[in-house]
Amino acid sequence: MARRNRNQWRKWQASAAATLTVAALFQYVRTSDAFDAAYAAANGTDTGVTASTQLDSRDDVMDEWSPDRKDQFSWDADGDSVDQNQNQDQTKLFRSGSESSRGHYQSHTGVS
Amino acid sequence: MSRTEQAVSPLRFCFYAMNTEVEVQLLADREQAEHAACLVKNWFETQEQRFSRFVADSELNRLNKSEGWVPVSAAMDEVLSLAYGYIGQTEGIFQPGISQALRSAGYDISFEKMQQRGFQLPLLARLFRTRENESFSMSEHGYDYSRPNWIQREGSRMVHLDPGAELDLGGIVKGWAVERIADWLQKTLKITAGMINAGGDVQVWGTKDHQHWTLEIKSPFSQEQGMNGAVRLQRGAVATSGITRRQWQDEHGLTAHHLIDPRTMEPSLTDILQCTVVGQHASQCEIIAKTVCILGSAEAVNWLNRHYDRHDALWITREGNVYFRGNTATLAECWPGFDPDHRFSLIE
Repeated sequence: MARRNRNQWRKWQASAAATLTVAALFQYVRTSDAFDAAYAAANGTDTGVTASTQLDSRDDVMDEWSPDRKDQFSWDADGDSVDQNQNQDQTKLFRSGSESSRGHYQSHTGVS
Repeated sequence: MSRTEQAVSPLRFCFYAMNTEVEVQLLADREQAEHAACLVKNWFETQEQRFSRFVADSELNRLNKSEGWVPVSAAMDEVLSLAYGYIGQTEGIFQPGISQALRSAGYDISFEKMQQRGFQLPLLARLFRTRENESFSMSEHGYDYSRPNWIQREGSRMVHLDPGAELDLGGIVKGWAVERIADWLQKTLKITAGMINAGGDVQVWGTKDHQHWTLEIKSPFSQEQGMNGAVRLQRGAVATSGITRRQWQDEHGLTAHHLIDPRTMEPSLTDILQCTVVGQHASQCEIIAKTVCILGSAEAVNWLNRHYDRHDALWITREGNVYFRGNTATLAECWPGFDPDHRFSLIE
């Protein structure tokens, strides 16, 4: 009985030690000077201030894309695009008749 | 075409990005659909420039060369966070830290340029050749594949790569880009039904009036072998991964492919040619399909069961056997044309 209790105590100790190690690692990251310096250099502020974009519900990924300013493609009379910036072979955009019928659209998937 | 006609039938656009063909189908009037298609094209090109390891000045390459903490874009931050989670979900089988192994296996330029090297063997000969264990092995250097080799601090958009770490996000970015732009088209442009398909990673959405999308699954075998089927769904994601397309011969003339097993850091020795997964998010389906392919049939079923995974997965082996694991009650309705040889139900 005593041996079993001792084993359980050791297991608990090992578990607690592992938890504390992980917590210490996170704490190290949070307080590391290297992180603080890099963050300040990148954002012009200290780590205590969370960027405003993190606090609201904006979609930072789509906001940083800002597609309207980059929308530079146009279409010719046949529905094909005329790419104004890129290599035609790589980027020609075309429109074809849909393969679909009402309520039942089609495409394909496969190894790419 | 009148506006009425356009409203019941989606317009289809195709372009090339991220080394694959991207197909866009949108249920909208011509003007809106054309505008949206341009934006989708721009979105993929933007993300290709950001995440490609074949673009010298990409954000990914700059990150791979960095030391210490560095700021990253919101997109990079989000993809790395997703990747962090998927490493855990796949028990390390999805591992972005395989860049050096891919290079060592010969995938050191874009796949299209590799094809131009022009010393390909016939497909079957390539499929059944074996590799010798003489290429790069990070396991010899104490590499732990089961954990991420970078640190992120939540909310800061700061990333710290482990010394010597080099990331390849090709296994996740395509699916992420698909689901992100599909979501944006629905919420921002209010497009009622559509499909984004980047080389087999697909996100679809529709309304009650437009009930189903049918996605034909390309067989890894020839048409004559009759292994053709499809996936039907109204809303959600489909992704297919496999070893039959992105194959090449390494410098020793041995067959290599792009699905690296992080346990060996070499192209996986798997019995699976391709796997298709159906779910809600293209990136998650893509990761699961890749993981199933890398693990092989037996291990894949065990892994999916261990995680009580709820996705439908269907895969085809070298021997031509079809495996299905998922909701067997809806198999006939959702996977028309398939009659799997092996069926595994979801674990309740």
